[in-house]
Amino acid sequence: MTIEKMPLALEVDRLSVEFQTEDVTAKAIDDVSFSVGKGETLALVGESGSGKSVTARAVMGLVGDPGRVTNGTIRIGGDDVSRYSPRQWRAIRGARIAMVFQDSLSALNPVFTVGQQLVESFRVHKGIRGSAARKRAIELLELVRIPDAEQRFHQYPHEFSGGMRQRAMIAMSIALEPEVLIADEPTTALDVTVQAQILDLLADLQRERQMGLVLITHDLGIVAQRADRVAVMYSGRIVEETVTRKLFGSPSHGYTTALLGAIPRIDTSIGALTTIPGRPPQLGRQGRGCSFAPRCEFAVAACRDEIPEPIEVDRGHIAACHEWERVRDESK
Amino acid sequence: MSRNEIALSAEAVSKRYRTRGKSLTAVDNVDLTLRSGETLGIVGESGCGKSTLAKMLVGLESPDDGEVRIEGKTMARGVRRFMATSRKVQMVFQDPYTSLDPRLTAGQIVREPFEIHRGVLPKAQREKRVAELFERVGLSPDHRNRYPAEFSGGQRQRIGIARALALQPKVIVCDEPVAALDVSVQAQVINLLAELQRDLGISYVFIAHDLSVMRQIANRIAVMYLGSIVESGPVDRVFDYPLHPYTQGLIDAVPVPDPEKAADRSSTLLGDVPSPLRLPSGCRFHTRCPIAEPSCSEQIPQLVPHRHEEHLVACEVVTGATSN
Repeated sequence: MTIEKMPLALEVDRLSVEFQTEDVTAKAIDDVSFSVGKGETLALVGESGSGKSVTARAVMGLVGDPGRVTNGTIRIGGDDVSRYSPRQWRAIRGARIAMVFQDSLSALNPVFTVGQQLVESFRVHKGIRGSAARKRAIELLELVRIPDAEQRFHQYPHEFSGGMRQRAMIAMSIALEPEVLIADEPTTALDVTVQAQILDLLADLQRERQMGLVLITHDLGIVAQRADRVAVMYSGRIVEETVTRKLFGSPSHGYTTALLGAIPRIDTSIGALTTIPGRPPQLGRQGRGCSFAPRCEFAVAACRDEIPEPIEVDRGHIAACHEWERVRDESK
Repeated sequence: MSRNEIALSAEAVSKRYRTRGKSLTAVDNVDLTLRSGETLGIVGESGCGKSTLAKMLVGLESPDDGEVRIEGKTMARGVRRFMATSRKVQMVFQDPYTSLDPRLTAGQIVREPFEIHRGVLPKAQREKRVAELFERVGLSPDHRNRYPAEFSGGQRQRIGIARALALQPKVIVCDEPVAALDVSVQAQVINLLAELQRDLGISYVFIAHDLSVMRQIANRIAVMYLGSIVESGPVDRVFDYPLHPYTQGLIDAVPVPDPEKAADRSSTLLGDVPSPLRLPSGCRFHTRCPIAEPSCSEQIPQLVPHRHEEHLVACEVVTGATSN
């Protein structure tokens, strides 16, 4: 691959976000770094509370009170946007970086038709109005394979089925041809047969337009089938990051191994599932060692005392685990 | 306990709802048997009628046609129905956040069944029994005085399971019991349910849209589409040799968590599930079916055994192809 020469679609370096409440300061994400090349799909995996959605919001410039970005840089197509004003963010949000949300019913405005909402973004960002905007909008609905696009243009979001609504939202997110698309659990609310259609659609659009795609999901099946690379998050940090095959083939963090053992498989029956004892720490109470140590079968004394730094355990394979060699050997 | 005893059965049950003058058939002429000690899985996408079927099995809804039998006895009708059935059949709900009364303590929630069915256990023994139930599901009995909000999702689901176990039911109907939980917690709850079945001989009707979970927990499964069962059989048989094109599409749509096993995208089902208010004629699946023939829109196919006495399928194209 020659992606090193071109600017990456998205680069996030040492990003931290804190949430301040009266009694605690919680680090929602801490020192998060990753990058996505043009036409590449990076999956951001983790369970609830791991910080994947906060990461997405931070990258979109959407962290609001009581949260704030305390550190780090964000580059979109090589341009540092981390110090952008709200006004500058509005100009690039949607145009250079866009987002598809999980819950399309609440992400779309219920009092405007789907067509009006599409036309709006052309008007604001491109100054295209009237019949020209309408034509573009209908083309987009066709592009995301919504049947009868001309009629659908005049319908309200509630008149769409879940799958069609998600298509409409994808149409909206790609309307201005962004370089980076962030899809936050885009199919979690959908049935599996519809999920497959939506993921196919996203993959096709991404290939055609060479977008960098950040796919946020908790579903390791989707990761295995759809991602080029994976970053695993736990308690606000990226604990492991590598190409998909390596993550599944030689996991090198205690959490990744545990997570892979806990997933039920459709292709075989395996008897009892491996469980991960306990549950993730609450935000703001992570302690001083590795956050996963209390639940980790590989944990040693060092894990409880010192947060492991991310290191390159293999070419293009980063893990933040003191015991990564043992983890990797035993999970083979 | 013999596997051949029938714990619960549904015979030709249908349920219709009326909305704005239209009739919606949520469940249409469904037959089902649950044997003692087994887990029967019911899978299907949203709107297929699986939750309505579950409600009829526990007596929360009464069928418009057909009947539900518990250990061979017809379920009572009318207001007494629920009192009579809830001793034998209990339910675990999907959402552990809304299925527990937030104003009762966890202990009161698990104790409530004894206060409704007063004859089951004398008052003096109830608290001790509640403590035992807490331990049984892996919760500390010391936490009985806490409120649901103080527990995590997985722990709340354990409270729901303890409540379902209180009256020592023969059958527990689990409606998407792990769908709201994270993977690591999901595995804990699935293993707990399996362990309870082994120790107590409970039979489960397990409703889920997640086929991977189903494969791990069910002995037999039934696949529903728009109110009808389209295929049923032993779980490994249905997963390894799916007969109905819908079952095949459903299984192929599930992403396998293994990058070495690339998905076959050619069989991706197209379109959405039609609205149950406008059921397609004939076979309900013919509008999305890759192998439909013209006759499929005319006749409703019957569920019949095919190549294996316990593997049933409702598809004339599949069953007709081999008999010709």
